[in-house]
Amino acid sequence: MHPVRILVGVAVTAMLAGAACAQSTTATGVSRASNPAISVNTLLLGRVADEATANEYNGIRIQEAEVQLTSIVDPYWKANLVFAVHPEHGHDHAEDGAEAEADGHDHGTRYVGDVEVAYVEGTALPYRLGLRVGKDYLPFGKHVPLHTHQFPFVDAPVAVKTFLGDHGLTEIGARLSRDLPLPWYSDLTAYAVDGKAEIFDAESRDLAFGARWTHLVDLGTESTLELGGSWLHGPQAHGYLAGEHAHEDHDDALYPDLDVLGADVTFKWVSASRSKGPALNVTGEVILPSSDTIEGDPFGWYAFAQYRFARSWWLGVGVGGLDLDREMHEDEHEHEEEEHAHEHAHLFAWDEVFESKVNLTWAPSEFSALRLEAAHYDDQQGDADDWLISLQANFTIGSHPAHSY
Amino acid sequence: MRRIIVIAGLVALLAGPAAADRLQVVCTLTDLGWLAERVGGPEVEVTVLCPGEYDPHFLPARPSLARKLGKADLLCYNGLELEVGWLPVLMDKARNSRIRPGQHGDLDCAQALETVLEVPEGEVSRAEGDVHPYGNPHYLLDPRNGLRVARLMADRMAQLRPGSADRFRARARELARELTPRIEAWRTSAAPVRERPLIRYTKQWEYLADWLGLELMGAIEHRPGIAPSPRHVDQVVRQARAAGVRELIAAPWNHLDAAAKAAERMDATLVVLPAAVGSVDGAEGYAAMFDVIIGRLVAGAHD
Repeated sequence: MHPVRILVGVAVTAMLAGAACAQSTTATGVSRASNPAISVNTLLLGRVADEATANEYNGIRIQEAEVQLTSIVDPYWKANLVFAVHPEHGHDHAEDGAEAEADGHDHGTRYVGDVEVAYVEGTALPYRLGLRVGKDYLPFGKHVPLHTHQFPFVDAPVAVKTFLGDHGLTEIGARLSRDLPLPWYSDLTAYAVDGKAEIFDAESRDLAFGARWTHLVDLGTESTLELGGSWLHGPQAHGYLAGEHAHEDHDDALYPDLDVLGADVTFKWVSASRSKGPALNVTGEVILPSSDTIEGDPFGWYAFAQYRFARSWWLGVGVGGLDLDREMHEDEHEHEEEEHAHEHAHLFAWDEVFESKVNLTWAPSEFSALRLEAAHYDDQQGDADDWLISLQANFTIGSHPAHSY
Repeated sequence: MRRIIVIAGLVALLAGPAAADRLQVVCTLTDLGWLAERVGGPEVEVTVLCPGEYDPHFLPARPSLARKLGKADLLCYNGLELEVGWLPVLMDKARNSRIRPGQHGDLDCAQALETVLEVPEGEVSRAEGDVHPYGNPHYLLDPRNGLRVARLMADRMAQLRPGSADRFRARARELARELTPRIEAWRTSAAPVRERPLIRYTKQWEYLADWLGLELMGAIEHRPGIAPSPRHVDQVVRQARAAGVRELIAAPWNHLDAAAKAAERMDATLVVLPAAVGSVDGAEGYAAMFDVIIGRLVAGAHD
């Protein structure tokens, strides 16, 4: 979709909403009293890579613009809808013509719109059950459920992008949750979804399903420790973890089911001593995919810490790793050596990656933040590495719902 | 045998209503918790979500708090969007239909107010900071509002437990009889503080000033939620020196190092006041909180 068309659509929606607000409720019967809470979050991103040449890593762009509407529907349901505009997936990947293929550049960023989230949530279910029906991020681990503007770093960890999808793991389906009667907070969520995300075989009629179990213990009034386990099962996408240069002879084969396991731990501390005082968030997660066609034991992980050292300032430090643990075929090996030997277009397309990141964020209010980040990626073979420097502006207007803990 | 039964019966009577029969009341703030305990007596079990030492604007929404909300028959909250950063998140996690908006278990205590101060006129803009669009929410710093809230709580508890209605209302009246003379006495004691204007760190003392007749001259953090610029602090310091300000008042969770520097520059005393029950030592109850507030204000005026 053309960006102008998207912006016009958003503007018209806003104008209609404004017109509704301006009208007298008694004279027209158009009431604004029940309008949903509306917010728009925008991420502007400027970045430069040392080696990679693709536009994704160089230049200035809108990383994402997100319109969110939230409201109580009736005594039984609450609804949430997020419409997101972001650069077209894959457009940077030199797939759009001979010229782009030749130099690894695209010429102008194209944007697409997508209904990222659209669900209703039951508010009057018995036995304190939680039911969410519609499209949403899957509850897998700590990073997948985050919207882009909540990411602790500009990009998701390589392990998350590689094993759970580069473009966010959102699915249509239903999930049921229950706070289990244990002495500590313990929430079990199970779900069944359509199975059409990029890690799944979109042509398969099989559903995907999974579960997440979290345990959260208060360590006094200022700190918490959370342990979580996640499991995901669904029809595996063709080419999953096969790399860019995989053999084509698998294309017509029947792909098996994919299982992904994850475990995470999070420690949070917020000082009660003063408003927006010192705070620390430390999170670590491991991700393990498996199926009959996945060679070896691929393994991914990440860990990060965010520390608020002054009222408006955060420091973030993160590391992560990925090991596909697969044997490369001869021609792949040659191709990879060729890639490493020349200036390459893309990061992350390596079988082993170690990433390290540091960022500094200035957040003068709840509604804006500027972030400067340096990220280093290493292929662990001594053949390739790259630096990525990013400056991200994050701002929100309107009534944005508070984020969960 | 008969003696055992009689003794057991007496013990049961003395023990009061069994925990399972008691109305489960969850209050967002310690002030509300104190009022709910006074009004509810042994017929209620009160749980507070935000400890006194936390700024209630920024309480981390720990899921364990949602579990407490999940057991509530009645939720008493301050309202006017004071808890907007965390209560909706907890409500969603609590999955308790008894306390959803519109239910009898949902009590917005701001409904008790006769007057809400600082309701923005015209368009609300975040250029003015994180302004509360429905008005200043710190009304519990006027004890007269505390009594109004107590009456409202009594009525709602009576609705939920009709069998104890008379007792709830009687306790609210008893609290009014107890506090009314003290409210007058506190106001009289504050006379020396009325002689000079006050500077406050944040705009949360308006109800206190309205009740005591204090003049509030300016605020260091004039835009809620936004760190003040050095230029603005300079301006406030100049104004304070010109007006002979003696006291800069702040809440315990304000940035007291910055407040102390500003107070020093204006030759004033930094007076840290309890902005909630339990926020400082000695302010363990609602009435005790005002004892501390008046005591510290008067002491600061004499410095």
